[in-house]
Amino acid sequence: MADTVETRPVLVAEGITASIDDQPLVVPTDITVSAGECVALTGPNGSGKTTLLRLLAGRLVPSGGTVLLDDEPVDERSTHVRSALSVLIGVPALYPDLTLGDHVQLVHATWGSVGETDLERFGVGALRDRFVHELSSGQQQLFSLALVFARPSRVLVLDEPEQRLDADRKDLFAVAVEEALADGRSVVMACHDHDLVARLARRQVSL
Amino acid sequence: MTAPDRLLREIRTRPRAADRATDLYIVVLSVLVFVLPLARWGTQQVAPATQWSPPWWTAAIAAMLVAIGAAAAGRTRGPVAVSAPYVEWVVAGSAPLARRLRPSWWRSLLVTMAAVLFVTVVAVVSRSTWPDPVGAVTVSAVALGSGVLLSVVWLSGQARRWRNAAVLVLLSAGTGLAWTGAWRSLDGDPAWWSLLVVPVAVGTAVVVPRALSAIRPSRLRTQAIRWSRIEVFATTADLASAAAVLRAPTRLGRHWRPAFAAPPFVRRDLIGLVRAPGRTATGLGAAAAAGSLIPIAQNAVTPLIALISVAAAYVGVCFLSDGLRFHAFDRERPSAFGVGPGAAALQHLVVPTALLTLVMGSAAVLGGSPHVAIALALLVVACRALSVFKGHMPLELLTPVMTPVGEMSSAGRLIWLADAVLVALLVGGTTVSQASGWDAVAILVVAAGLVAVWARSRWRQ
Repeated sequence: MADTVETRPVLVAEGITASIDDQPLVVPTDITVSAGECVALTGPNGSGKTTLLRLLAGRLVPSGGTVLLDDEPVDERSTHVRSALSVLIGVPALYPDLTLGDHVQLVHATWGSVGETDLERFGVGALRDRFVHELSSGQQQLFSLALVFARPSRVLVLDEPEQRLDADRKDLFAVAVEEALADGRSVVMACHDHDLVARLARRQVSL
Repeated sequence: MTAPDRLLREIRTRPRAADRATDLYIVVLSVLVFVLPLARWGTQQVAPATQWSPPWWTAAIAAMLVAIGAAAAGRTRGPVAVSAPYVEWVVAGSAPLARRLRPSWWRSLLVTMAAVLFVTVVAVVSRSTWPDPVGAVTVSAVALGSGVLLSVVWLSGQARRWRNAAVLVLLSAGTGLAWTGAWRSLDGDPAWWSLLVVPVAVGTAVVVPRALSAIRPSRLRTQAIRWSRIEVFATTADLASAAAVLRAPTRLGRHWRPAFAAPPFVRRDLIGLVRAPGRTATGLGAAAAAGSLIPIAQNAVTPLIALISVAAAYVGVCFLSDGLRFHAFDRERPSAFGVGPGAAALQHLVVPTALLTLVMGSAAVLGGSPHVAIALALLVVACRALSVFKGHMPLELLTPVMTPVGEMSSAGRLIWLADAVLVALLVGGTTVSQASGWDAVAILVVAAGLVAVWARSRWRQ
């Protein structure tokens, strides 16, 4: 993994913070994510990991500081930003009347890309013809990860990707991240699993 | 049509279990049973108003107020209304935002234009005289132009481009003037200048691409999820929860530590009102409007004014009785409070009763009917209690009821859902419009007492 890491920063956050009125949600934080690098955000519940990810993804306007993607401010309305960032924060919105296979097909139609093994990579290939409400919570998490990894992107922003996964499925996720890093994609993830952090993250930001 | 939209359409054309004929049947039946009678009744009520020729500034102010309302509505639900999964997986794609969102915008634009045209046609045909053909065309063109302008203001509100919205609101004043001229042309007095609304409205569409590009996808997703939740609550007849979804989260007064002598739940309600000034002002405003309409309603030839007054009073009490609603909603859960649930419910009734009687009574003083207003306030508060104490909808109401004219279980659900409002409107509206003085007071107070007994029996259940 270390061999593939480039030093060129892709996503740079300086002194970003968020607050509601006088109530701070995140303390001012600096983060730099380079191409092919995985950065893990760690900290106790309520420390602001998810809020920080939302700031990095441009889904929340920071109260202070800046977030730059390729030296441009991150704004979710920008085509460049939407093309670069693949984000999984919370439960993604899914169509109740589409099967898993339909969703994957839709994602590829959106991007004009092709992918045959997106579901198999996360062990849910056999569920291709199921609807979303026919999945267990763990299967739904694997499916969400499959969609987020299926679309082209340069930076993956993931909030607790390990939640509801058993040890084998966590391994599938780790392999997918390692492949993404090897392709030069970057990963920023909030994670409570110390083993995953130790295996994947080149750097760790503690909140 | 782009590739994802084409794919979604292909997927949706697959055979499915739902019977489309049933859906069509429900729509047709709803139109025949509810929409047409209401439209006919409404047309008869507004007929006198259509003969009224207001001064130009009245129409200008009304048009501006409608435009301001449209811009404000854009914050909650804009003309670009796509589903949350569509935002997640299609809007998030690499195509420019304006291109992705354009189809949804076109749909809303056409629906808005059709709605404005429909209302205009209803108003025109309710006139006592047949309209001049040239005038009818002029009014239709102005209606369509107003629909376009209204949609663009609505979109500007959704994109939070407030400078654009302000300019468009000012332009809307011009449409008000055009309406005045166009309306007079129905009597054969042509006002060609009114047609200027059309090119002006079409010209405002130049801001649409920029506005579409300025909409944040995360806000679209939030709006989609919010309205999906409202739909679920409304389907299960939980209108209070549906309305609560639209409420802004409380942010004011977090450091406020009030200390004043009052029973604990009365104090809670007062604190809640102060921390939600918008809701409180709306509730008090509605109560004041209701009170000021009562003297007018008692002398009006149509019961419409009385019904509007009662409806405004009911809206007012809904906004001022949050504590009562929260308490009724949570009554089945274990409580940590040292006051019994019945005593707590009575305490929660104090603030809305006091405020409604005070505001409605004061507002009705000028017309000389404060006693009627206070009695109506008591009835409305009792009806509100009846509504919040009803609990969850009984499952038996979901059982199909087959009749020779079709399946009628929805009528039972509708009556269960709206019983308190219907009682307030029927008893309150009839009494205010048909009785006067202390006769009206006596009827309203007795009715309030009976409804209170009914509400108490619901609470005990």
